[in-house]
Amino acid sequence: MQNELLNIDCKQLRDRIAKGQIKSVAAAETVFERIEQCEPIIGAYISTFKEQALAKAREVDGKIAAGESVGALAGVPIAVKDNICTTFGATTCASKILGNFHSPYNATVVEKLLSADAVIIGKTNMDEFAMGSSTETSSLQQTVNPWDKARVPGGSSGGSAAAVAAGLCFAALGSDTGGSIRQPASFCGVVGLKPTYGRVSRFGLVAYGSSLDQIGPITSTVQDCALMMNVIAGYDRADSTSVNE
Amino acid sequence: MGKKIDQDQVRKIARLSRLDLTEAEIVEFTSQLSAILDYMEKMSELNTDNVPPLAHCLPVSNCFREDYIQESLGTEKTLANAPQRDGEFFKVPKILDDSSGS
Repeated sequence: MQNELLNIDCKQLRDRIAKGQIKSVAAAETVFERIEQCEPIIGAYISTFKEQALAKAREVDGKIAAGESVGALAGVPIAVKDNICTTFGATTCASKILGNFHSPYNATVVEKLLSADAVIIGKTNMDEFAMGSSTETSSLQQTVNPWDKARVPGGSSGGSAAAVAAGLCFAALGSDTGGSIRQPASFCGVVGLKPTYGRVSRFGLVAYGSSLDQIGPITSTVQDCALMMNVIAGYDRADSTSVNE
Repeated sequence: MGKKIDQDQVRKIARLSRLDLTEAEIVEFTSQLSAILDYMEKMSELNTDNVPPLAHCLPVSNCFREDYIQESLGTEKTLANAPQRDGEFFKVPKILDDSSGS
């Protein structure tokens, strides 16, 4: 199962789950198996939500079996950079300053992922408060480049890029102020997109350079990037710098 | 050679930032901060006479909504991370002394 699953992309997985050919629970379990194998070496995730993810996966499988409609990312295991607020788990920005901060609200992009029935696997490592370009400044742990353990994954979204490259998720969200999606995606040999400023809501993203910050996808294919953008992009009343056109 | 920053200014910045620097760090950071300011000076080499000022990269302004009451986060969630609370208020350490007038 692992080999079959690890060689397909987000869209292929989404389509096969929607057709009932692959169970979302199987996809999530495969990802968690891989996390158990690889994370001691790679260190992409600061936190993971196995119980919650499997519960969501079961819910998705149930809806599909019952012929109910599901979202555009139904059953797909996704990772979220740890400067994006979630009501589940902590939001650390890879800093000891925030301690065990539990956000009282989800970022808009997280709400959109959940509405799209994505299975959120965990929060990924990064440069502390996104202020770096190698993920080496994380106060919590080191992330290595899955292609060469002696190299950095890039930054600041190094955990997200490494997770996608190593098959520890099928897609991830990162944030980019001055290259922090694009550069780690390049270092890890995956696709990263910094959306045009204002295209994706920043509500719930811990700010770094507010007139530059954007949340964006890191994926294994360009088509997957488009799939993710269709879910996360759009005007948000809660972000007055998001664009309504 | 552009602007320079001296050790006293670095000490002041460190105090404002609540950073406890060693003497060796103050020396090191003084030269590093000076180098950063010198680098920023390079931008003055550009002629921007015909470049209008840019306040925001998007052509948006006055991003208001209609003033009606709508559901929001609520008191309990908003105060969930308050180190101290007093009813519906965040309680914070006093930072002004009573002799400061209004």
